[in-house]
This record gives sequence, C-alpha cells and structure tokens, in this order.
Amino acid sequence: MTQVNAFVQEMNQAGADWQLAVYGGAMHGFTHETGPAVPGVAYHAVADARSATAMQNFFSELFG
Amino acid sequence: MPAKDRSEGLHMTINAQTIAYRHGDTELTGQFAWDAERGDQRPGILVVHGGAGLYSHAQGRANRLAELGFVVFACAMYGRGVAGNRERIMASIAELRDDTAKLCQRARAGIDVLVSHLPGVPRRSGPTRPHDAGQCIRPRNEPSRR
Repeated sequence: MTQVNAFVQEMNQAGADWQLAVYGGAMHGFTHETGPAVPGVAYHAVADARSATAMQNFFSELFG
Repeated sequence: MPAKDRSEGLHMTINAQTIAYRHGDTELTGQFAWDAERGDQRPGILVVHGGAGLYSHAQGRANRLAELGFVVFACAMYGRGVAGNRERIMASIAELRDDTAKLCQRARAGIDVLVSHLPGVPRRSGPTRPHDAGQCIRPRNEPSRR
C-alpha cells in the first residue's frame, strides 16, 4: 500500500480529478480470461464484471 | 496496408482495422474498432494494453467498447518485435517506467492517431486501460510530466 498511498498523495498534490478502485480477492491480470499460468496472475470474473461496469459509468459521466 | 476484419453481431457490424504509426523512431501498430453501421459522431476511446503488449485481450476490449458505440483505438506502447518476447517486454516497461514523459508522449501518439484518422471523432476522448489497476498513463491531465 506504500506505493498506492504515494500515488494518492501525488494525485492530490497535482490537483488531479482522480479515483481509485480496489477489488478484493482480485490479483494481477484479473480481466484476462485466458491469462498465463503465472503465480500472482489470475482471472477474477466478479472483479472483471464490476470493473467493466465502473468503466461504463465513468464514460457516461464523461460523455453524457 | 492495414488489414480489415469484420465481426458481425446480432445488431451491428464491428470493423477492425490495423494502423501503422510512429512515435519518434519507434514503429507502432494499433487497431481501430468501430460500429460500421453508425454514421453519427461518437466519442473516441483510447485503449492502452497491459504489460504483455497489444494482443487479443486489448483488441477484444476495443471491440467490446465499439459495440457500446465508441470509436476505439487500441494503441501500442511497445515498438515492433517486443510483444511476445519477455526480455524485450521487461526492457520496454523499464524504459517507459523510468521516463514518464516518454510514456505520456507514446500514449499521446495513440490519441493523435485516434483524433486524426477518422474525421468524425471528437477531441473529447477518454482513456482506459483494460488490464487492471497499476501503473497509470495519466492522459487526462498529465500532471506528472517530469
């Protein structure tokens, strides 16, 4: 979380319009249905669906 | 010349077209996706691939966004011969991680293609990274130019 906190601090200092989404249980590459069999990398269907919805909501906010 | 592919759904036809472009001396290849049956002006979306490079995952995400009605360009952050080669991928990641100005400029090259290639695409385009949370491109405000 050290890097995450540093990122948040950097965004705040820059005055950026930012948001941070964290998906519990999801690992790296969680949207890759057919990802590589590598430790720490795994598909996560719930996080994939939730992040897709969040992205669409973000676009609705941007583009109306 | 760009290759053209058409995948037909129930109510739409999504076109996919590969586009060769450059960022400085780096040769890049990206992919456009759009609903060919819509002629109205639509927002443009830039898709930036994950660490492995531009392959079927980001291209599939681009197609999904095109199905939602956006004009989408899946850009390439790595030059020719990098995707599929772990050593070159890691070297490219390190290069862009250590030079955030170059990282933003390379994404900007993709935005320029998106905006200029299709005349009807408005300039107010939104970024997305389909991969996961992680290192951020920061294309909206680009506050991190160093």
